[in-house]
Amino acid sequence: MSETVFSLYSWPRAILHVDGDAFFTTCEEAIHPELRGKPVITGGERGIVACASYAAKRLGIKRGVPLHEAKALCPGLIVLPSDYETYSLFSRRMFNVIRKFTPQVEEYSIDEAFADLTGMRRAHHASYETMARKIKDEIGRDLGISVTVGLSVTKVLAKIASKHRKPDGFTMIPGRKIPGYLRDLPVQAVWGIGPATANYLWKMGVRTALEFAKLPERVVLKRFTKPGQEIWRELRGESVYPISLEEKSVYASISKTKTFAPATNNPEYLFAQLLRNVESACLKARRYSLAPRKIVLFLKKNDFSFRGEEAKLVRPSAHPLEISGLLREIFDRICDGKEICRATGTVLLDLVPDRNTQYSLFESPMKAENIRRLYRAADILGGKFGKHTLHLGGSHLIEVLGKGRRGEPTARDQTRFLGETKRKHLGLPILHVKV
Amino acid sequence: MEFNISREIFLDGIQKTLSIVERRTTIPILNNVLIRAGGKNDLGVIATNREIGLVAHYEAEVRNPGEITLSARKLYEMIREIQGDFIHVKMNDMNWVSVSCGKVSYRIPGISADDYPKVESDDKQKFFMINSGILTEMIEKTFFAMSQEEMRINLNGVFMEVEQGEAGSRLRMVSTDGHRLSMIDMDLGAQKFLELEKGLIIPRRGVSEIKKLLEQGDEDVEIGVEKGMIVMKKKNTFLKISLIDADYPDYKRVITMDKGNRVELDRDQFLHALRRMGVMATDKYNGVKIGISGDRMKLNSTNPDVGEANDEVDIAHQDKEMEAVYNVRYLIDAVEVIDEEKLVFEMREGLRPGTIRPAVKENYLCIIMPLKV
Repeated sequence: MSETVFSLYSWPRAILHVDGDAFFTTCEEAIHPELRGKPVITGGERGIVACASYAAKRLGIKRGVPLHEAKALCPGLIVLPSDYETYSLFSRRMFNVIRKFTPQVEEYSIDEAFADLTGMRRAHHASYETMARKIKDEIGRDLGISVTVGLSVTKVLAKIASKHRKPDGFTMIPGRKIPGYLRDLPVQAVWGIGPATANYLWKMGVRTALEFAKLPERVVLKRFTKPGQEIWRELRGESVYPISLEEKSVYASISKTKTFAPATNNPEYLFAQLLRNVESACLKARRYSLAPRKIVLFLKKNDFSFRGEEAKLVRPSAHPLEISGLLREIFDRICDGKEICRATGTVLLDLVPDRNTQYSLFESPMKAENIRRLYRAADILGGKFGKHTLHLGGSHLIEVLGKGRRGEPTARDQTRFLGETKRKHLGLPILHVKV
Repeated sequence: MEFNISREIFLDGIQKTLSIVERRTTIPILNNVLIRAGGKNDLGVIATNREIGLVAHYEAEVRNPGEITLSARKLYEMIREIQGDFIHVKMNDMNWVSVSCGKVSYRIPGISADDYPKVESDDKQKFFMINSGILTEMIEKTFFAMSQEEMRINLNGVFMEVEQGEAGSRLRMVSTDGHRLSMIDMDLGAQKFLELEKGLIIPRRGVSEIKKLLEQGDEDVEIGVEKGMIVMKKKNTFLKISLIDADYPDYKRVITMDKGNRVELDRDQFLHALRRMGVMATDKYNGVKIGISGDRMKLNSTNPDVGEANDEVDIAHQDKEMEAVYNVRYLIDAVEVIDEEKLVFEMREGLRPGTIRPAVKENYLCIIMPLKV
């Protein structure tokens, strides 16, 4: 047993971390049972591996690898287009299973959730361990997907627990057993410690998570800023990160990137894609009543290098029509019309609540107000007939020349129920059992 | 180089260079101030950041002429901490400078003055006198409305324009950050003044230096313009500022003849009411809702993060009712610089800008764009 003790109690809090195993491919396997156990990847439409099944991973196929490399590694590789609609349906159902056990569930990402089980033992007549195992089993049984579950006393430790044994694993780190799990864990593997902090810790002679957790408090207070101090506390079993219930509505930035095929140097098509990125990002910003002060545009070339520029807006605006002139100016600077690009993207930065507008003396507020009304209408139309039903002329070329998706459309796209349209689908995952 | 100088004079002289010399620069000499001990008991203190140059002359007992550049900040700190009345400065052959007073002595290395950027005046330059009181007032009334955003370089300064009329020259200064615009005209009488082909933009830092120059004594200043620079001269001081090379926006477009709802207000009363509203202001929201109805002006500031403030001000009866929201800071800035008892606030509907001006004098106005809430 370890000589170090951080907590005398096993469960001062009970925090659960649920992590989907190769989530996208697992979902595909759930709806296409014949694919189970085969090397499958998704991301076909992007030309890179977005997610690789465990069978594919065993063959050495990693995320982010170009398709041709992946195919070279495994000639029989099954390449599927990403079907985000299905994945998000699975995601929502997975969260709902967890909600049966506790109302305090944080949807951290499409395939990850944190949940606070503290105090729920009595209600379920079950130990925390039993609850965690039940959640895992129920997700496996109801959705046909495997998840890994980590149970511990803080978010950081729960994340360490779920990483401990993957896939289809269950690991429990009660308060008293913390040091045992941190001893061999490299410090950079701790959630929240990036390369910069890790390098800093190495300089201090700290290599493992345990060495970090064992640093005296005064050293930590002196050498680290708030984020570092918080991770240190969390590692020692003191829960500081709350489980946030709200759907994420506070964004520091919103980004949208789109890869298309074939890669092209047609400037008008590139601009149309870029403008569509901005339209998508602004749509999301408007949904949360936010508006950016700054915007970044970038092009990704065929050799994966980037060329981009940042610009400050005269005033915060989430209306692409108002900023399209500026966007064109930036685009003309970053696009030389010769280089072949495979993706375009945008980042909206410095988001502020879009409540009060200070118009400029040198603009027409009435025009701006009309644009605002126009987008209000566009958003209603979008809700009814699908996103971007009303879009800028500049991005219309996408509708003409195609979205640049390569490969087959998803199985969901090929199936259409009565009353469904290209843009409007029933919120149900569809099982494709071959008989 | 060797000289004796009064501590007070030296301290003051070096302090004036601190805002000019660069703080962080990769070129060390730009952190420095040039000290030039000349004949006739004259000590020149020269500072520049290549955009603004200052040459000032002070009285000193020069024993041995010479020149050297020294870290302005360190020199200032040394003099500040010395307690005696007179300071002795001496340089050796190796460019080391000793600064001493009584038992205190400092030694710091200097950099040769040969490498210092030149701050010279053109002898052929034409200068015109201007009353420093007039210039001070004009700067005071435009300083606050300059933009601080680095992106819009043309707004980062005060725009200056000269108009030659039958009655003589009229000098105009305009500043705007895009949300409000402040403009003042001053008649300079029949005397000849600068003839400018087009208006010029004096950068923010330059305007601050001019302000400081004007604060020293009340004698008039001489002003001249040459090759993208504006030059100011005062008895012992010479200031040279690079102008912003950009086009100023067409500000006249913003000035409207429409009087809107003309409300006359007591300046102090209005200012205090606005300040009371200002208590509710935060970075996120700083609006004040102003409603006029009958003989009342109602002010309200409701900030969800802080709370609510309400006040009323008596006004002359208004036939029309209206309401508009403005950034309270902008209103306060505009009202503060008005030096008459009464002011006029022209409010306009439909997100059109409001205008604040003194009730009597017609040479000043501040135009403010309302907030859409």
